[in-house]
Amino acid sequence: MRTWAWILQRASGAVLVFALGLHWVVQHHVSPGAEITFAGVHLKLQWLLYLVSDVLLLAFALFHGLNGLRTVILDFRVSPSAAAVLTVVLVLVGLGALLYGVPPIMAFLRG
Amino acid sequence: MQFTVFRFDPEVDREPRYSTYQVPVGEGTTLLEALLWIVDNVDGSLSFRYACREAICGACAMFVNGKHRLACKTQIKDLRADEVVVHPLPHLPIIKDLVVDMSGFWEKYRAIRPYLIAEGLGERELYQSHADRQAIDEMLNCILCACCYSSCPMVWTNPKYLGPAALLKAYRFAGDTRDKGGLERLKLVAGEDGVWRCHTVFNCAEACPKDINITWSIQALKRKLARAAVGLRP
Amino acid sequence: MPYHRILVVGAGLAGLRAAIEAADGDVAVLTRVHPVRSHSVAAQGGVNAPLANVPEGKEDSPERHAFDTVKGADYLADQDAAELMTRLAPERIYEIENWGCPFSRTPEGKIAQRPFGGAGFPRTCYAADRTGHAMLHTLYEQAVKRNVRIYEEWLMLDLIVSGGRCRGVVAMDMVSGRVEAFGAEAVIMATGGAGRIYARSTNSHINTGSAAAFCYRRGVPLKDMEFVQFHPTSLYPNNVLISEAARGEGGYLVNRDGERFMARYAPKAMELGPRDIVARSIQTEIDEGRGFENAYVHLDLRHLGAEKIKERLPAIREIAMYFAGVDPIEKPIPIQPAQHYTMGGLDVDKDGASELPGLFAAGECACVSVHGANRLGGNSLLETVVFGQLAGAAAVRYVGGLEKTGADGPALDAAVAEVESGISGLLGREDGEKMAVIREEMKQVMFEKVGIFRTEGPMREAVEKIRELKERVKRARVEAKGRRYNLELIGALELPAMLDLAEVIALGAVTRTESRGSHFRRDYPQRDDANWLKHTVARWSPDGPRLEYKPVVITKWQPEARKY
Repeated sequence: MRTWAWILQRASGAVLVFALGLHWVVQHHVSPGAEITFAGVHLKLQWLLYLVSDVLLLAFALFHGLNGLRTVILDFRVSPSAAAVLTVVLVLVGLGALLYGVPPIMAFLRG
Repeated sequence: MQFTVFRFDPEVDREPRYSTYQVPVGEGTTLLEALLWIVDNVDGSLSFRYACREAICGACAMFVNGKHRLACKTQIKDLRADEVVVHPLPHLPIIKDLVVDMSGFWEKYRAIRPYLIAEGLGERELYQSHADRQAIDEMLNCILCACCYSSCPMVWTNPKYLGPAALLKAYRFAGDTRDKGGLERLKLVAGEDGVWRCHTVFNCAEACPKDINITWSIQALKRKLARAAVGLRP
Repeated sequence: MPYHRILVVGAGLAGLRAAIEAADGDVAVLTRVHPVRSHSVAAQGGVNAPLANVPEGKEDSPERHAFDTVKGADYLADQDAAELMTRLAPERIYEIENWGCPFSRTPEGKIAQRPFGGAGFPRTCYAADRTGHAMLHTLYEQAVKRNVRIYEEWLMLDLIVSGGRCRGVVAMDMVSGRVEAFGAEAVIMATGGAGRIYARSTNSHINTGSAAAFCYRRGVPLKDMEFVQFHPTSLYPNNVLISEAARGEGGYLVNRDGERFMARYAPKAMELGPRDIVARSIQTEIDEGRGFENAYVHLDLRHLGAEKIKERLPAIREIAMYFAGVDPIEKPIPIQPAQHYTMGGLDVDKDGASELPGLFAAGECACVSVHGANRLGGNSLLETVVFGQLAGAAAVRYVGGLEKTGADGPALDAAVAEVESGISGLLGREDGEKMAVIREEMKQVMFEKVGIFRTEGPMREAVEKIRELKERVKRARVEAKGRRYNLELIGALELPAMLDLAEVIALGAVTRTESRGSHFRRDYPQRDDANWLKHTVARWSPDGPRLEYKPVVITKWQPEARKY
C-alpha cells in the first residue's frame, strides 16, 4: 500500500508534467478559437485534444495533491483506523471533485 | 574566546541556563580540547560525552553555533565567530548539560535487524567483488553519532519514525551483496514509520560529520521496495 | 543488585567477542562508553592473518606469521601463545567476515591483504583504513543479534574478591553517579590499554588503564608493563594515529634534508621495519636536528597518487586534513612518534585465565604474552578476536564447573560500602590541589623519562616523582560535588589507579638493565638474553610493586639478533 502510494505519486507526477505541457501547448498555441469570445471558447471546448488534456490534468492533479496530503497527514503518526478513514475520505473527495469538474469541461460536447 | 554553554541538570535545575567561560584558543584548538580545558581549569561540573578525539567513535556530537558538529573535529578558528555557543543535540531528552538520552536512537537501530543475514559460518570468506564492496563504502563510514537523527524534521514530528541513521544502516545491509535478508529485510523499513516518512529534506546529509549522503540511501531503499512491488528484482 | 554468571568489562573487540562466545548463557557486558565508542573503533590499518590471499603472500603460513610475531617481539613473546594465535587467525577472520565485516577485496573477491611492518608477507587484512571501525561495528551487531545485555556508561571502580575467587565488580553509573556491585562467577576484563598515562598518546581519552589497575590492587599481577609501544607516525601536533598502512601502501619517511633516512637504520625493510625501530629512528632524526621545528619529520604519500590515497587511505587523508590542514595528495604529513600500545597487562595464560580463579582478561589490558617487547602492526586486532573468543569459552567452562553459585551478598555489600566511602571522602574534601594538575605532571614525567629512550637516572627520578604524586593525590580535591555525569569525579577516581600503573611501568623499566624491543636503554643498549629473557611480573603491595620474573616459553625459535 505505502509502496504503491509512493510509486503512483512518482508516476502521477510524471504524467502531470506531461499533461501540464500538453495543456499549455493546447491552450495557448495550437487550439482553434484563439479569441476569447463565446464562439471561440465554444469552438475550443469541442476540440477533443483540449478536453483530453484538461481531464488528464484534473484527474492527475487531484490524485497527486490528495495522495500528497495523505502522506503529510500520516507524517503526524495517526492510528491505523484513522488512516483508513482518511484514505476513504480522500478517495471520496477526489471522486467528488472529479465528478464535479468533468461535466463543465464537457458542456459543449453535445453542441 | 568566549564560550557560552547550555547547562541543565534535571535533578537540580528547574530550567536550563547558560554558563560562559573565557578559554584560551590557539591555532588548531578543537572544541573538545576547549571543553576539556574548562573541566580541568574552570568548572568540573560541565558534562559532555567524548572518547576518541579523532572523529571515529561518534561520542561528542553536539550543536555548535547553529550546526551539528563533532566537538573533536571542530576547530575553533574554522567557526569564524567571536563567540562559541554550544548546545546539546537538539530534540533529544537531556541527561545533563550536553549529554543526551540516546535510547530512542538505539531502539530504532535495533529495529532494522542491524546485522548481516546469512547462512551460518562457512570455511572461507563470502566472496564479494571489489566493485560491490565499494558500492556500500560510503554507508559503512557511519559512526552512529546521531547528528542526522537530531537534525531530521520528520524525527521531530513523528517520534516513531526510524530516522536517517537506522535507515542508512538498513541500506548498508540491503545493499551488501552478501546479505540474504532480501524482501524480509526491506519489509522492516516499509511500514508507516519507515522510509516513506522521508521527504528528502536533506538535513541529515547536511548534518553528517562524515559527509555521507544519507538521503540517497533512504531513496535507494524506496527504489528497492518499488522494484519489488512491481515484480522486479529489488 | 545485578548478577550475571559471566560479566565482561569493556565492550571493545575483545570484550564483545568474549560476550558473543558466552551468549548462550547468562552473560552481560559492562562498559564506560557505548560499545561503538570503544577504542577498538579507532584501529586503522588492519588485522593480520596468514590467508595467502594475494600472489606475493602465497607462501605464507601460520608458522611464518608466528615467527614474524616472535622476532618482532624481540623474543619476549611466549612462542606457544604466538603459534596458537596465528593458527586460529584464519578461523577468526573468516568468522567475522561471515558475520558481515566489510573487508576490502582482491580482484577475485577475496579478503584483500597489504604489507605491514615486520611481516614477511602481505598478510594484513583491511577494510580501507577503518578496519577497527568495521570490525567493532560488526561485533556489536552480532551482540545485538544475540540480545547480549549491555550496561552502558558504567565505570568499573573495584574488583570483588572473596573466598579466594573473583565474585564480581563494583561500578558507578556515570549518568546517576550511583555505585552498585555486579555479582558474577566469572569476570572477563577487556578494558584496553593505558596510553593516557603518557603525555603524547594516540589513544582515546578513555584509555586510562584504571580498570586493570583495580584488579592489580586486588592481587592480580601485571606482566611486562615496562614494554610500551611508541607508534612511529602520529600526527603532529595532536598525536592522532596515522596508520602503518600509510607505509604499507608505500609511504616514505623523509627528514629535513629530503633524505629517506630509514636507509641508515633498516636498509632492507626501510619504512616497514618493526615499530620500535622505526620510532627510534624518527626520534633520533629529530633529536639530532634533522627534523622540522625540532618536533617532527615528514611522511610523504604524494608519489602514491590521488586515486590510491582516496581508495586505500581515506581516513588518513581525512585526519590529516581535519587536524593538520594538510592534504596528503599535495603535501607530506608532519608526524612524530607517540605512545600507542601497552604490550604488558594482566598476567594471563592462553585461555585468558589469571591466577585468581574466576578472573579472565583479553585484549590490550591482558598480557598472554604474544607481543613480547614489541607488537607488530595488525596483531592487536587479531589478538582481540582470538583471545576474546578463548577467554569467553574458558569462562563458560569455568562457570560450568563451579559447584556453588549465586551472588556473594556480604562481599558485594562490603565492596560497595568501601567504594562509596571513598567517593564521599573525596567529595567532602574542600581544600587541596586540583587532580588535573597531578594528572598532567604524571603524563609529562612518563613521556620524558620513561619514553622512547630511557636511562637510569631519569627513570629513578620518574619513580620518585610518581611516588610523590601518589601522596599528593590522596590530598587533592574535586570541586564539582554533584554525582550526575561528573567528569571531574570520574577523572579523580581513575587517577590513583593510573599512578599505580605508572609506578609499575617506571619501576619495571629501571630494573630491566637491557634493551629489548620497545624498551630501549641508552645505558644498556644491548639485549641481554642471559639475564633478561624473562617476563616481569609485578605484584601490588602497600609499599609499591614487588617485582618477580618468570621464564619465556620457547618452542621453535632460539633468540637471534634482530635485523631488518
